[in-house]
Amino acid sequence: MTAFLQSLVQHQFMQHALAACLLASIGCGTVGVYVVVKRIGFLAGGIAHTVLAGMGIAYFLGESPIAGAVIVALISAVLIGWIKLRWHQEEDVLIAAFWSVGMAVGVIFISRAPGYAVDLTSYLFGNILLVSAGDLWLMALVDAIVLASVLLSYRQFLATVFDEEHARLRGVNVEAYYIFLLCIVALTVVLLIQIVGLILVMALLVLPAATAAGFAGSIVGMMGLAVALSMAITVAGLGLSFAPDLPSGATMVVVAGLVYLAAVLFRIYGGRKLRPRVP
Amino acid sequence: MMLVEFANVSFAYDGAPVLEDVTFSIAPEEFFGIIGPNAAGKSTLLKLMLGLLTPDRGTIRVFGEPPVLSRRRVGYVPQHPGFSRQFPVTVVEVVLLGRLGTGAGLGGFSRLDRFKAIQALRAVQIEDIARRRINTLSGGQLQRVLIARALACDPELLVLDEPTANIDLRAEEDIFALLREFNRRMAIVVVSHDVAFISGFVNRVGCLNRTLACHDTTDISGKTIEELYGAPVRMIHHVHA
Repeated sequence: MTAFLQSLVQHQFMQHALAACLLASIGCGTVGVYVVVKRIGFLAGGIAHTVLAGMGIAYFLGESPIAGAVIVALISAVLIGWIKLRWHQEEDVLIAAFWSVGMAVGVIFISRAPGYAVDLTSYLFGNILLVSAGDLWLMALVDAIVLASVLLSYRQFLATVFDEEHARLRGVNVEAYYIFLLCIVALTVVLLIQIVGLILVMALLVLPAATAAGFAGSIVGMMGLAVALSMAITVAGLGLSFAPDLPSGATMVVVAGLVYLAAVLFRIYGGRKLRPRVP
Repeated sequence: MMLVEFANVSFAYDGAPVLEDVTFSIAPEEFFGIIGPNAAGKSTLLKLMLGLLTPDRGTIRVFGEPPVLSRRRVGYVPQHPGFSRQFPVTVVEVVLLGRLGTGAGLGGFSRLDRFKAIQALRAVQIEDIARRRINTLSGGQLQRVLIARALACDPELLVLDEPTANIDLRAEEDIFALLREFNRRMAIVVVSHDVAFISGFVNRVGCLNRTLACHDTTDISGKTIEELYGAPVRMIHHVHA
């Protein structure tokens, strides 16, 4: 632990890693709440894995993989949302197709990329120690976009995830807000890919929010708690992985899973169910 | 002008006719009850009135406009809530969502929204549970929350689908007493399977069994009810009162 703290003081890459954890937590805690209450984890998974196509193509063309990831994440959010709304019956098959074909396209482009064979594992599992100052600015920008969207459309998002029929009757364009929400999820996925890689994105998107769900009394409370949990989980994962030189992304996900398990056990066996704010 | 006008409306789900040639109108300030057996098309009729479904034939006008355009002036209480009871949301937030479609498009809820939401909660006498999470409510309390949500937009027409299906008799009487109170300010359309009960409250009853026949409540007799429920598929020929 002291070695971790020392290194944090001494090395800029550790400071970047810590900042990346905190910045990613803001986005994933906020958006993860919508993913959990709307039960669109599978859709978010589809978007996350399709992103490899964007990274592969961008890498092949010699462009920034993150730029490719953003573009493909947004495209796949719109398409997957459209599939969900239009072909509801075949939804699972179509999303599974997106999921795997997207990854396959990414793998093919990466294999054909000129120059050194790129290290696939850093895309799949993330490499937080390689986060640059530029990446941090990009993450801060994505956070700002996510938070601004959630604040400005707070009522419409709440109506859409809570009760679609009622939202429609009150004049909310439910389909448009649904797709918009998936685009926000897509941006958050890109944010997290830096930290834990695209395979493990789901864990950080879903587990802190699902843990918070058992204890929060409102959506806003749940978001605050999920952000705090996510910060604690990612920083703890980073710290725990440091001394034994474990993969940091995977360590964070294991911590997230343990925290969630503890919360579930607490709710089952920890005496009476918590029912916040009963007057 | 009539608040609601149905002219020769027919509707079928995938070829199975649900409503045939339904014609009726509802006047301002009216308290109109719709009764009928299961699968008579009661909920379908309401969904057409709200523009959630479009008729295969015939025309529907609400406040003189197509239903989709007049939705914001209508409060709707569904038979089954369209949300999970486990959703982390408080009573007052649910009622606040009824304010959507009024005021500004962006940002959070305004002070006026909060004032109106509390007013709606007071109208259904559950102001004291405003900050409770919805998974702690009884069936009767949840029903009142749904009514408060519908009232929050200051509707000119309140539409309720089986508002007392999931609650006990005592609570049922209380709810109808509230509705009679609201009827001073707005027209009310209520769907119910409980014939005997609602005829004590409403001005006029529409008997629905694929087609609709309207009666003043004083005209309701054993024979009309028997006709309605005893012959579930046969059309009911009836002269409007």
